[in-house]
Amino acid sequence: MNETVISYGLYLVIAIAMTIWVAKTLHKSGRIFLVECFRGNQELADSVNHLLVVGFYLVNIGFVSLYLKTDTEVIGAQGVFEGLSGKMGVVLLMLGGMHFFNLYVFTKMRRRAALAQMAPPIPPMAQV
Amino acid sequence: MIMQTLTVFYDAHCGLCSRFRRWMQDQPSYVRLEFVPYDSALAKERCPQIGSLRADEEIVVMSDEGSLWQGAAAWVTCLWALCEYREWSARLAHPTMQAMARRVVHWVSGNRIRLSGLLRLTPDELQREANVGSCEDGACRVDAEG
Repeated sequence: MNETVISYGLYLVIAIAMTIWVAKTLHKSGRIFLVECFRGNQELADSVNHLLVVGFYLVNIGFVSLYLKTDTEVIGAQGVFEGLSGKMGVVLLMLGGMHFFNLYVFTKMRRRAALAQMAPPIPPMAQV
Repeated sequence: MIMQTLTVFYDAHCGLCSRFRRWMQDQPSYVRLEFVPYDSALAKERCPQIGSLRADEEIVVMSDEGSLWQGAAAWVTCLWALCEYREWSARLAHPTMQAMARRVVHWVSGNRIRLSGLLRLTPDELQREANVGSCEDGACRVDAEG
């Protein structure tokens, strides 16, 4: 087993562990947003939450797999660390981007739900 | 009580108002929308006070519970009824925006016939005479989404 294979192994373990951690955070903290969006319909909120997390896993693990291969040969412990940090940096930025995108979707859904409940913004001038 | 229907008393003699009526009818809305010419018998039946409101000067809208809005407030309420523009209605309802909106709406209302002529917009009244109107009994309706 050479250094390149060790890098690949470490990369996969760390990247997938990070993906799982972010997905779990999203799943746990996103639920309350969704319950509010669906006016307390917990079953629907849980279903959408699960579907979102599945999508999150698919996109991220797909990216991690595609991004595995390195073109330069890894030499020594220094090479392992350098190669790994470069790859992990990109994967973490990708995870961060996906996470913010999910937050954006949650906020948009919440705002739409709040708008549907909104009363006319100007009180009536007269009543007949 | 939640509003179910919003009645818009518009000017069917004005091309700009009729164009706005058609545009609003094509938009997805949160509440059912009804468009009634302000000087029709149906308008008097729906809102007996319409004569004293000077609806010929500023647009009047009425909810099914009998709440009335006029001028800039009526425009904001029209936007509030539309799915795509509710967020804008909240922005325009802000007091500083309302002061500006009132001036703009007042100017547009005062010059609506001239503007319609400049933009070559046909009023509903003329279309109805030519039997191409879509609103048979004087009122045009559009149901809420969903």
